Amino acid sequence: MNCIEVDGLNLWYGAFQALRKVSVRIRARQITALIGPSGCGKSTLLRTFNRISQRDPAVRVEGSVRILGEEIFSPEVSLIALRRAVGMVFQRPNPLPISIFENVAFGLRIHEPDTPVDAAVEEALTAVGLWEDLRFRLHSPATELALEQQQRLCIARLLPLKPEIILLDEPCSALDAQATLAIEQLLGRLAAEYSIVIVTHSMAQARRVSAECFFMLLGEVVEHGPTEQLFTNPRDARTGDYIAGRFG
Amino acid sequence: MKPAIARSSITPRFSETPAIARRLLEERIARRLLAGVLTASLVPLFAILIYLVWQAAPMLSWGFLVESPRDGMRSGGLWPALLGTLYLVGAALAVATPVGILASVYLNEYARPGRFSRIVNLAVINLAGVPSIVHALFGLGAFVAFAGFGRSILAASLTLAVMSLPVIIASTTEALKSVPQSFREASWNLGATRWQTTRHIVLPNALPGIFTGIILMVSRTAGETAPVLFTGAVFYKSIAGGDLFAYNLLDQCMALSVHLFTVSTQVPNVPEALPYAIAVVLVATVLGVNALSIALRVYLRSRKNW
Ligand SMILES: Nc1ncnc2c1ncn2[C@@H]1O[C@H](COP(=O)(O)OP(=O)(O)OP(=O)(O)O)[C@@H](O)[C@H]1O
Ligand SMILES: [Mg+2]
Repeated sequence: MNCIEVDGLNLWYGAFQALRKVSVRIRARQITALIGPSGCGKSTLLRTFNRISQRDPAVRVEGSVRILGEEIFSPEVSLIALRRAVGMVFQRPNPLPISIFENVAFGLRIHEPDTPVDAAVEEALTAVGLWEDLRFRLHSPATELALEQQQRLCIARLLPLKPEIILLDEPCSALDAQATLAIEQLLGRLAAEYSIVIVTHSMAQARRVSAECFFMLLGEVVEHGPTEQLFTNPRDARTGDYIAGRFG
Repeated sequence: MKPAIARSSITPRFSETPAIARRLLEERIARRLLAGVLTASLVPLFAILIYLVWQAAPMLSWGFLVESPRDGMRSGGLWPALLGTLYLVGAALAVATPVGILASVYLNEYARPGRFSRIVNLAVINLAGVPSIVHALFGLGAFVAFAGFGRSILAASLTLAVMSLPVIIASTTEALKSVPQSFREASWNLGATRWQTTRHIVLPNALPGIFTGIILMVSRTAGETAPVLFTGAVFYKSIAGGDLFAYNLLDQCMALSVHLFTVSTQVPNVPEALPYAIAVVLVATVLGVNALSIALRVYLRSRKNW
């Protein structure tokens, strides 16, 4: 079952074309990695999935993106509903400047003002492994947490809304090796329940966490397949060059 | 086909639910309300400007700008007052800008953050709120009498400078605070001194914000009446019309604000349009200086490219 289906997607920043005829199928309830050299359009592709990229008036898109079978560029789509279902985690942890508790409760509070939040907050913090450490300081500022904890919090913040898809754009590049491993394990656990797309610059990370992998170059998807196959037996020479570290 | 994996089986999934529709309604109301408040606050502003120009129209001409007043200020132009205001604001700006900026740089880039700088900051903010008539009295005592400048352009512009210093310091401080700390750290880490960091990194990035403060100060000083009346402005002084160098710093001078006051309240039988025409010139002078600063600001910002 696919959670994201992209067909013939072109995207321009003004006159510059950042995505060229991208067509991909991303499967549900597993981790899909997006790799490729800097500037190849990974973030751009990720940011079209919740239509954040279209906030920029210079951006023009063409083609079709279906999420859970539904065309997201169609005029009936509500951006609020879409972004609730498709959550995003950024490269720099960006906790809101409020307490830990309120960070996790924020989504529920804005979407469902009448729902009690306590249980949902505990559940989310437990899911990302922060509950035991933070349960007695839930009301201290989130910005004072360690970076890894902040990044976990940014993931936890999405969970009370029960998103369908979680997008992560280089979520570990601000973290050390141990924190990176911890986040990867967390993603592994979450993949049982959520569909996860992760952009990463680390070949090793893509290989460790993902079931399927896409390789992008200059705005095009060059190759796509099960991660193990793409790394051991790439069909396209450019993929081979990239994962062998010969460019990028 | 395997069973659907989506959490919610409601389709279409991303369409507007009633709850979303309600929030979008709030959003639209907020947008209208904000736009309405903005309009409501702009309308009186434009109404004043249009009314002024309308009333002043019969008197406005090039001659009005560059001639001296005649017939006991009932006709002729306002050149001595226009030139006087330009001198006063220019001299005040020349003193207050560098002093204010450098003081603020010390306070933000050098002084250790702590009780001292907090108290100074608080003092500055409160000084900015001291009524101008108090500054007028201070100028009379300090510059006219004690320093011995007499009632003169020098004494008046120094008074205006002292009055506007807190405004410039406060706004420069805001501008300096908005420069990201990481820029300073990057510079320090390359072994730059504080001064080099300030000179090459912090100030260039803060300049647009600093200009905002200067614009505010120009607007305020150009319209001040009491301080210049106490310290150097006179009701009437005859100078050669159109001569840019008709005053020197120890002369007394006319000023637009004082001239407006005189013509409106002290001179009988003035043409109805005259006070309005003076007001238009005063407003235009302020807007002209502001436009210049804004142009400079836009230029500086366009060079700030990241
Ligand atoms: N807002 C923008 N306006 C104009 N061009 C942009 C904009 N954002 C990205 N680009 C360009 O689009 C291309 C793709 O950018 P994108 O950020 O998607 O790359 P990326 O693969 O995520 O790179 P990185 O690995 O460095 O994050 C780049 O050439 C970039 O310069
Ligand atoms: Mg990127």
